[in-house]
Amino acid sequence: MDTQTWSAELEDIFVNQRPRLCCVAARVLGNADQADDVVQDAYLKISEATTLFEVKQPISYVSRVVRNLAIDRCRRSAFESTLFAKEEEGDTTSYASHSPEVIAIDRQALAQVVNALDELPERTRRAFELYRSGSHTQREVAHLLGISTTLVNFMIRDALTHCRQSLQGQMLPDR
Amino acid sequence: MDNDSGDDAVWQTALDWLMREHEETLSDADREALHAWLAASSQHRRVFREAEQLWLLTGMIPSGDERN
Repeated sequence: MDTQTWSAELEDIFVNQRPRLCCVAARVLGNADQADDVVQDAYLKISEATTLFEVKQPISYVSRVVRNLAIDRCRRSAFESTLFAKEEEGDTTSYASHSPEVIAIDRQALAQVVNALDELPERTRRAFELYRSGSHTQREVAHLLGISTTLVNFMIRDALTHCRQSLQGQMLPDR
Repeated sequence: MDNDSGDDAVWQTALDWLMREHEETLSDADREALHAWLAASSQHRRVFREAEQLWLLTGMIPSGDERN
């Protein structure tokens, strides 16, 4: 699917499947109030990321991103109201900067994360992907790859830590 | 703040929370505990924020099945 076709497809999904996507968000949020907002956020973020990868299962992908954003929103709103209230005063790079009106994702950071994951040993990358994007439990991933659950747990941590180091621009030696 | 083993321990704990949330195994009491952990130190909050931003970014990447 080329970029133009994908953009058209994306628009079609967000128009015609909107009620379904709102349901996905509402289920996570526990109410319908912010569901539409989350879906709109997903549309903008995916549109921005759109040229970074090609997607052949758009509905599954879009639903998953909506769900992820709803989970993120849920957590943030729970903590923003209390914990981060004080720190936010006068701090523009605070937690509050991730409020709904800030919709853009950091495209460059996303591209860097994609690259960092590609740098991982194949099995580690696969384990992380099955867990994060494939929605498999650690035990299921272990079963699929024929390795222990403990190792899967380490691989997921390795993957995320490698991404972190890549984003920090640090090349730490192996310990 | 040094990026030493202390930071790494905090980072690993932040990952623990995000993984448990992803697996939908967080009870209300667990969320209280996460809240308390975040309230305990600005380093916890800073590192957790970093982890959750990365976590969200990785969630934007299509899985192999979803990709061309």
